[in-house]
Amino acid sequence: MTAQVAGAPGGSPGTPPALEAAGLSCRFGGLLAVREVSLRVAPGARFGVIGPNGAGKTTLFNVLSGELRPASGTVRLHGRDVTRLSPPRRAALGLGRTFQITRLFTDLTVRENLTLAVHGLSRSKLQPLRPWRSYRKDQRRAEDLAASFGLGSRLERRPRELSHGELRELEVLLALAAQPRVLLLDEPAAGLSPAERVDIQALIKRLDPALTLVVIEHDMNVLREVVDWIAVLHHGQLVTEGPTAEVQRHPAVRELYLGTGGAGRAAGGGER
Amino acid sequence: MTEFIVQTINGLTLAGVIFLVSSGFTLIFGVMRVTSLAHGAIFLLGGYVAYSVIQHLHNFFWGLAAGTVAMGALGLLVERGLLPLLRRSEMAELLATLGLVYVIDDVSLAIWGGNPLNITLPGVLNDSTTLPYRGIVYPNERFFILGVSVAVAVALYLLLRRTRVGAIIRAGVDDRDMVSALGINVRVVFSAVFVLGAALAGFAGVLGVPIVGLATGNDTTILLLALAVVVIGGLGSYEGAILGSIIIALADTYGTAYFPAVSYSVLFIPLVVILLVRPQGLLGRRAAI
Amino acid sequence: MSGAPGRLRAAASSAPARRVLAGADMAAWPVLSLAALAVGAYFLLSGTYLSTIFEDVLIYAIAAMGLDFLGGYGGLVSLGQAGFLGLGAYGVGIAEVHGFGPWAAVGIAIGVVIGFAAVTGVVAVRVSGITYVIITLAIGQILWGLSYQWTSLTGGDNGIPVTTAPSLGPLHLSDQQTLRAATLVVFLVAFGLLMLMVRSPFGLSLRGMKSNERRLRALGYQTAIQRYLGYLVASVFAGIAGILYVFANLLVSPSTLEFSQDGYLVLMVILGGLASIWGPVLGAVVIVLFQQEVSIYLSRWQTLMGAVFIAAVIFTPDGIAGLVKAARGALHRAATAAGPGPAALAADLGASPPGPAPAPQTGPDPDLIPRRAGTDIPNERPLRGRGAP
Repeated sequence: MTAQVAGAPGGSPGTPPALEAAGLSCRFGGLLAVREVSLRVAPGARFGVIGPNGAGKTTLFNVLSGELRPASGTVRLHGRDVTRLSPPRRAALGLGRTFQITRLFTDLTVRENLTLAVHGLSRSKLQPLRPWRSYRKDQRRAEDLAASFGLGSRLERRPRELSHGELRELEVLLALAAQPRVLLLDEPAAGLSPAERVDIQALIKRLDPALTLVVIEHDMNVLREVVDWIAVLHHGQLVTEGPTAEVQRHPAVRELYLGTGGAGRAAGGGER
Repeated sequence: MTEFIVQTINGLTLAGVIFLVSSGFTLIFGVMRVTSLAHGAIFLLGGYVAYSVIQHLHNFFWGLAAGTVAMGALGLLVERGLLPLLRRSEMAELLATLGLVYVIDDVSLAIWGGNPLNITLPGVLNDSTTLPYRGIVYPNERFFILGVSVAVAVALYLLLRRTRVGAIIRAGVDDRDMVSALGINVRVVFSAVFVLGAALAGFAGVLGVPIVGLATGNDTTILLLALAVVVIGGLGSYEGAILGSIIIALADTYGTAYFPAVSYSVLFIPLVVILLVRPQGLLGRRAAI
Repeated sequence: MSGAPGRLRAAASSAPARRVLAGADMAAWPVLSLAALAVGAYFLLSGTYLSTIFEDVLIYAIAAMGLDFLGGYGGLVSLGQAGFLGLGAYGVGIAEVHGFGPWAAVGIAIGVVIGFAAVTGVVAVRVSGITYVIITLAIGQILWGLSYQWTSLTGGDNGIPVTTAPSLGPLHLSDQQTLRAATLVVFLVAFGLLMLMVRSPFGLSLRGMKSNERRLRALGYQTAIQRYLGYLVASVFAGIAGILYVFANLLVSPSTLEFSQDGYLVLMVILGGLASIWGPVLGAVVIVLFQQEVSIYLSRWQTLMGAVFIAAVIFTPDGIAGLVKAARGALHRAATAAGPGPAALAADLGASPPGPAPAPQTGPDPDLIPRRAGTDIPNERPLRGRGAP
């Protein structure tokens, strides 16, 4: 059943969805990577997007965050049309995202990484004369953020010295430091060992309930722990969506996953 | 009007020479992501080598061959000897070619001096023809240059579009890693492209002497023109080099003829406009970053 | 490479020795900086032949520092800075020819530089990487073309002689000694500004832009604004250098802006060390020495300079500043021989030492080390300059 069913749990009537995509289509490298996808994510929702590799999930995120222009359709953030806005403008409106391939400032220390994130939406980022270390409040925020997620002792290290799990955590912290209202997490568990995956799940579950989360994963085991509602993407199209438990049992979903070798694992899994 | 036609033909002949330099540059960039800032110096050195050969052998075509082959050999030397040391870092390669400019320029200055030199074309090419249209008298050498440029351009086009080697080169521009994954010896392709690009620059350096002369300082001018061409046409695009060469050469020629006080600067106006409107160049397919 | 650190390690294994070395390491930078400054100032004001050399060094260092801020820290290498230097110089010259007093001429020159940078910056910020190099080269050459061809305004090839230097009360900058002292002051101000800017949020954002622009944008940074401002800063630095230049040389001509001059400035920054505060100064020293001293003994000095530059790009991408840092690294490791593993040490070296020190960037310049396409996680590449076995 290929439903463009709009729906998501929660949200009071009259409040616009935190994030809404309507009829999004996007070309990527000559093919239609996203076809007529519509989603509605209520404020505070825990929304998951799952699909095998190549299903168009990251492309969808790239359109939602503004890095790609859709061929058609619109994106709305808290009711406001942001389809034409660049990523920095969307960030200013409260949209944050992480990347599937860790995108950190690799030549800078963890502290400097977080400092950049903390200053991101304030006017001080263009201040050319005052040392950034002297912004005590912002530095404390960076330190607290790092400490509350276990990176407090790593502040002066560079990314190349962190473990992969710590890198993925830092990836999320950077997005959090900008205090987003809607956070897109692109395969947060990518490349993590089972133990590290537990850590990242715990991190996600500890996030502020008021924060709207949209999580991409291709591993159902990870996703079902952290989201209440899942949309399934395949070949760029929305195959189905619904509460986690229902989607898990959905025949089309089982076929996608069981058919490619093992429940809950899609082809080309994440451990590589 | 007559003046305008003459200037236009002047512009087109210049376009031919610039195209020869730019096509090599854009292919090298497209396939290898190397920005050869030394291309202007190679152009100049090719002309100088030909000059010396012609002084001894009194034959233009031997000079032309010598300039081309010598620069191709220099290209091989650079590609095999220098570039591998730079670990395929694009900025490092660009900077190394910058250093090479100082070396080549200084050595050329030492050998050939700073005064302008001249190469004369043989026989009938030295004369002028009276065109049937309005009785315009136009030098033959320019027709020769234009004709040869067009011939080479066509030959290159056929090479790129109709041969297997050309397909590999075009694929390399598109996706270098894929070409390597297909089992094709990328090293050989790289060397071949660099040698071809350098040889083209050397060839242009000889051919272009009647138009741009042969003197120190030319290398900078030609480099700037070639850079303008490839940015306008799109880095890596062969057809873009053709289009860009025509635009830049005509801009330069008309500028010199009608706005001499600012001609050199006016030249860069198309560059600026294109960059504002379409940063990847007219025919560039991806962002030229 | 294992011999020297091994011996040092043995010698430094005693605790007192370790403390001394660590202390020396900490004190080294401020002491060395002041010493270098004192030596330089002495020669500058000595009124000897060396004075002109040091004066040139300071002037070019100012322009190189601006280039380093934009190119080294921000990753946008400009091959057109000589154009702005020339623009500053010509601004003064042309203003004086038209009857303006020297201070007015200085003001006009600065205004022209800012104006031209403001306009051309709009184009320059649309591109980055290699295209940026090309477009800045073109902008610099546009200025050269104007200086050469617009003879009614610029005097063409002959250039413009400048006769009147400004005066500040009893200080007449027409006196060469006074001018040199003023140049030193301007240099120190520029140096101080660079230090402040590098450590500011704006400077950090430039480093972030060089490191991962896409991520920076996702965090809310309008990187076009940063590029634009960085471009303005670099241009103003070069323009000010140009103003000092024209009062020192009493002449400006098209040769001031030709391509080789653009190249020299880039050479200075690369040789000295990208993304370091002292680097541009060290690079200026080397290049000016080549131009003034080596040229006396060797007519083919440009060939040698080009070869040295190529060697630097191949072997020491972090330039002289990088070599110095590597030496400090070896000393530090010897002093803390029984300490934690190399990774932690590397991190310690990365922390900013107190006092005027080069900005915290240890390890290879990411711009000069290849990146595997598609990955942003650092590769397993050996850390250069660590004396690794």
